[in-house]
Amino acid sequence: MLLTLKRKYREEVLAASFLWPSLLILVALLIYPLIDVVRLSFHDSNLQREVWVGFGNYIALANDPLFWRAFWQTVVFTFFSVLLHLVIGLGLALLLNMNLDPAFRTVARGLLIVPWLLAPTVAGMIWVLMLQPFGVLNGLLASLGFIDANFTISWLGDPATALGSVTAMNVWRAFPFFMVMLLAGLQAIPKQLYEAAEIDGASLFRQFWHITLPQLRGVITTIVLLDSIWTFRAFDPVYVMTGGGPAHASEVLATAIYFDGFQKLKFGYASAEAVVMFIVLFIVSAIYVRRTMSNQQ
Amino acid sequence: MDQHRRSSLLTLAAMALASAISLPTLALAQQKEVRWGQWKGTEVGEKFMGELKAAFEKDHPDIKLTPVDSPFTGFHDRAIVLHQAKKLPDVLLVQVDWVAEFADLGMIEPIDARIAKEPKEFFANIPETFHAKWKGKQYYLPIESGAVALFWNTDRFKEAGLSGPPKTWDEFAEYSRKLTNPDKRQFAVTGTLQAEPPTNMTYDIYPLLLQGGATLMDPATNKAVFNSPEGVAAIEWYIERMNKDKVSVPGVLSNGEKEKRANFASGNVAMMFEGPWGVAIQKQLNPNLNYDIAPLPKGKSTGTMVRGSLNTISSQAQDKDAAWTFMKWLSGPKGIEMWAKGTGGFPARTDVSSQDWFKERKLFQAFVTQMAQPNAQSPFLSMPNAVQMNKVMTTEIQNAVQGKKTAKQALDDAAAEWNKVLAAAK
Repeated sequence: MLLTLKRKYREEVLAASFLWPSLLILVALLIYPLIDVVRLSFHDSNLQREVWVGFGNYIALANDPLFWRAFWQTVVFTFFSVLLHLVIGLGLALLLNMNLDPAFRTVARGLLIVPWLLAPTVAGMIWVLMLQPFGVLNGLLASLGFIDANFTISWLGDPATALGSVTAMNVWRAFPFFMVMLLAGLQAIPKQLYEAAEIDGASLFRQFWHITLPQLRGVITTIVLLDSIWTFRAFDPVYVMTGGGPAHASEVLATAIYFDGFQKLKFGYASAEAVVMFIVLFIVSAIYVRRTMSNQQ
Repeated sequence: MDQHRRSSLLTLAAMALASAISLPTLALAQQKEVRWGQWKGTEVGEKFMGELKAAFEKDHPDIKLTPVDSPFTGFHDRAIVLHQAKKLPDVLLVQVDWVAEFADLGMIEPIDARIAKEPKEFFANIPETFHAKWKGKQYYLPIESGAVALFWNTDRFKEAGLSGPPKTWDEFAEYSRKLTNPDKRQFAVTGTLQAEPPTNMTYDIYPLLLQGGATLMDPATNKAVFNSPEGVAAIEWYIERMNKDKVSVPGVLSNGEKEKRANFASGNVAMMFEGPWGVAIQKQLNPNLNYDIAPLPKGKSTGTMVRGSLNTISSQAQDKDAAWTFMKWLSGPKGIEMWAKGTGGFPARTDVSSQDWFKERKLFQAFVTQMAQPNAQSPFLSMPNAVQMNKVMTTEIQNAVQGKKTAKQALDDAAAEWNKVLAAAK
């Protein structure tokens, strides 16, 4: 009995000794900065001085129209990015899952995944060039007769189109991730289900609605949650393409935090914004983790 | 005996050899190091940086110069992070916009006492603009400088039947209309009001406010005063050019320095507000472009923005005396001459800019004239947080150009925000 306990204890110690390096890195790189940001959010700090202000930064946030504007623009940016990622990704995955020539399917899949391979800043710069007043997009619209050749749309310079343009770039860059994941999900659906439905006379739409979608539910939930997290905290596309402008028309939380911290040197206030962002992301992550764990069980 | 003598000689020879080997090592051990944090390496090239280092080390064999190069994008933020990590280099290159901010953050040290020990002509030959102090203290020495002037495409002017650049606002408005032909995608200027980086205010807006007779800040009251009737009239004049005459390349609110320079280099844009650094950029973008440079047009007054790259001693410098030795060498006559010749920049010393070799650089003479005119200012040196204040101004001018606010409302709102920053820094 004692021997068994000793052995078990030794195994636990051995397991812990394997774990501690990773735990240490986790604490140093994640937990400590997180705690420090929360601490800083209760201070008025410009790095030279720190004054305890309690919930002062949070009260200021609640009354700051620019913060709420950035918050809602982040929600809109995230909602449309994720929705369009799903719609385009699913559409293309369904097309690639049809009875196509395998060589064509491989080439098409390879080409369609290119945007996902680009760094967000590179993709952003490409789109900045395309969306210039005399860029490719306006040229295309003019040649198709949608706009007059001398009329130019300043996609990034007009507050009405700036956020939409950044969203479009973000959709273009990340739809391949959805496409690849959903294609893998589609290929895992048993063919017998469709054969049985066909025998029962189900239309293509009913097959999609009653077989495809329910079978893909797990994949869709996972990628939607992950993409929501990634998009909600996205910084690069907005910073590179518009810098949050014009006149804050495309400001999102990530850029607002950066500008409040590094331009206004209001590190306490920026930390409070980051904590709000963290809370939102934590809720989405908790749903994701819960889902993953229930799947494993 | 012979054996004893031989052994003594051998010992002597061994000692001599050991000394010979250890001498340079000792010298190296005594050599001080100055780490120079800057963003110029990529711009001026490794070859010139190597030559500069060699020239300095030849004059000061006891100091080893180590240039630490980082890209300009994000340099400001990286410096703040390095300060927090207590890893700032000994000498830190900064922009005019960062001096007050970095001084208030305790990142850089005053150098008044060190300047006082130098011969009078050392500091007297540095342009007056760069004598501006922050809270009564001098924190920097310039390595290059320059005022914004007017670049004009001689071919485009000739095509439009214009013999020379505009000298007044009225001429500028008239010429701009003649030089704009949207059918041919030809425009007079590139209006640059991009939000990031907010340095764009240097080119379009601040010079215009000064030319209109406005003042940016009143040192006596420590308040923003650009929302005066003169300031409002200047912004209204700008909006009229952009919205009514449409003399700018479309996308005024998203055009930045890159777009402005590329558009001018393409030959389709007739004029550009730019500093002397633009000469090297145009040479790189389009060496065949025919252009000249003139002082900015006058309104009620003249006016321009002076910018520069400035060296500072960081508060975390290991050896502040060595750091100062390098700073004063590079901002002295020899260093400035070498820097200006090697980089094609505008010399930040009057005893260098008055030399014959520089007078032969015809394109640069407009900047000399511009610097000598009234209101050649660098207000950034007196702004507690120029980056934030420039951003506020950019946003409000964007609001005015969009028609969301009148020029008066926009300037009033910008002034209110500036006053908050100025009051907080007092």
